[in-house]
Amino acid sequence: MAIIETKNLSRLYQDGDHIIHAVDKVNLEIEAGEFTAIVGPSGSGKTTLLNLIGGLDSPTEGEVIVDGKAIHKLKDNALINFRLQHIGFVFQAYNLIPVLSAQENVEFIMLLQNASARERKTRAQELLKAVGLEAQMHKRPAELSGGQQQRVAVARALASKPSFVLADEPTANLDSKSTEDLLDIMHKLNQEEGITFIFSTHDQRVIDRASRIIYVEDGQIKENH
Amino acid sequence: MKTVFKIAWRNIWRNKLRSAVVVCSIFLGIWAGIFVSAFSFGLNEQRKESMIRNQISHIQIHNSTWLDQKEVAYTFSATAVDDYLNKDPRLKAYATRSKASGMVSSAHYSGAAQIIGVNPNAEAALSNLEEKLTEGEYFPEKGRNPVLIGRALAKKLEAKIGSRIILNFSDGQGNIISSAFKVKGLYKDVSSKMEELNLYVRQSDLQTLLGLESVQVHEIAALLKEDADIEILQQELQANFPALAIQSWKQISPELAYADEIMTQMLYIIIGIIMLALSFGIINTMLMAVLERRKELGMLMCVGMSRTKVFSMIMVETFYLALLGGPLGILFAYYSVWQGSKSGLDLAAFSDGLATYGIDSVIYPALPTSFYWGTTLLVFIMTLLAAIYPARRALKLNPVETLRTI
Repeated sequence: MAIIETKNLSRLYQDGDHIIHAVDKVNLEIEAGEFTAIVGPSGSGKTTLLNLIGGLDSPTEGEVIVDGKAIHKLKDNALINFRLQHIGFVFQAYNLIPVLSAQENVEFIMLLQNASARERKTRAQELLKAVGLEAQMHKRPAELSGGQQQRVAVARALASKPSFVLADEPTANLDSKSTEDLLDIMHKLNQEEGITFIFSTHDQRVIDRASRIIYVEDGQIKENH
Repeated sequence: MKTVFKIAWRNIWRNKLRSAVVVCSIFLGIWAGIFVSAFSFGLNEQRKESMIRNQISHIQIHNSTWLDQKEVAYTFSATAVDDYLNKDPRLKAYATRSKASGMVSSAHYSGAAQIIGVNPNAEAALSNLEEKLTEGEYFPEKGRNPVLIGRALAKKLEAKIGSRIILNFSDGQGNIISSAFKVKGLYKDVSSKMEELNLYVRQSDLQTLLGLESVQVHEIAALLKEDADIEILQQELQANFPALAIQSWKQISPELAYADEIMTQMLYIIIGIIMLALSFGIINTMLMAVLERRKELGMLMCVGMSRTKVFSMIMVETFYLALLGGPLGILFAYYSVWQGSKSGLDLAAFSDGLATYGIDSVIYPALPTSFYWGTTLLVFIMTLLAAIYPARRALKLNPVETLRTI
């Protein structure tokens, strides 16, 4: 069963007299356990599509159904709560909370879910161990390298036990070694624990690891295999 | 909420210098505001006490016609009132006075004078006339017609201790009386105008010259132990002696009573203005903090932090800043006022100017305790209001726009 489904999904923007079709009548289904890369040139609509799937943006037309729920119909607070419970996010610029340690950053999401202190601590430590950061748990983001920060971001994204993880150009700011390490971790989590990852990327190394590639151009899906 | 408090606390120390500057400005603003208020309040209290002690007392009793026409003839018999007051335990002191308006002259100067006949012992207990003497003796037992004059008048008359001066005034029948008095003492008053105008003679001497009996007086002035009893005693006296005019200090000197009444409001206005200025500083700082962290706040909303929590976090950050500086400022101000109230602030350089307004050159800051509580409440309200705008700005952030990408 598809965990994500879009039906005639469109997002239009007004730019002066022009209407831009950032996403244009996209029909898409993503199954659980996929390791999907959304690729395409700059301005093709990759990020807008990811924003719509993640409930961060509202469609002009069409539907977004996640875990059987039509999220485009949800009100603001309900949508925020839905994101918290169902979707993990990894950002290009890591976006960790600078005043919290790596472990606290991971625990933060569980705190928002009202998890117990013991559960938070155990899971945060497990996740940080899974991404190879058991020695850096108590360091703040400024004390970590870019690759390490992005691994914390992956651990944080998984902390809420989401249905899937959306990652926007997660390797864009990383060097080759860090990119390989991060991809290894995410691929392992996908293979061994069945976690669904959906990336937007330009990076050929990410594309090479993907189980499915969706090519987007001018807001439309041109290839899907 | 615990996380919100924790993150908020750490957030305010991200930019230590900026937070420290805001905390210091709140601290200094509140400290200065309270201290200036205490200075003003203390100054006003001293002026009031000085006026009451030196001139008007708490209660004055007169022949009701004397209030409109201050003529020698409008006396009243002090016997019944004297008996009444003598038994009242609420009184600290009281004294009878006789008064006459006239002229004072010497070989060098001649001018208007208010001649006040006092009972030396009772007057010493009531007012600080004896303490105000800078030269000479306070109504020595020996010698005829002693007079105490102010230093300013002595200068104009070119009179010294032992000099003779002439007092001219009319008696109850309109006859002009001219009598020689011997200067026995010079006094210093809070106001040079008072020094020039008022002369003190023995009441018995003045009554004799005016042709009045010893029980016929123009004024009884009374000082009470407790301020709260003033109006009560005034009403009791009025009920017992309806033919007399019984006035409290507030009626005798309405401008002094008005200054006393509006003082507290003035103090809150002073502190309110300071806090308004401080609140703009807080708003500015928190707004900068919000705008600098747009991306982070957007991320928090993306991953599932509710807008209510984001709003609360900014509110809490603002409160932390104010609650660090505010209570510190209030406590330090309390200590400064306490110290100042013991040692006083010597404004000797301005003593002449202050004396013109009847104020001593050493000012003792003072504030009612309620003012500290009021200020604490104002700090709380000011912080609440200052926090709302930056927090609302955070609330209105669009996560997608702040992150541009997810």
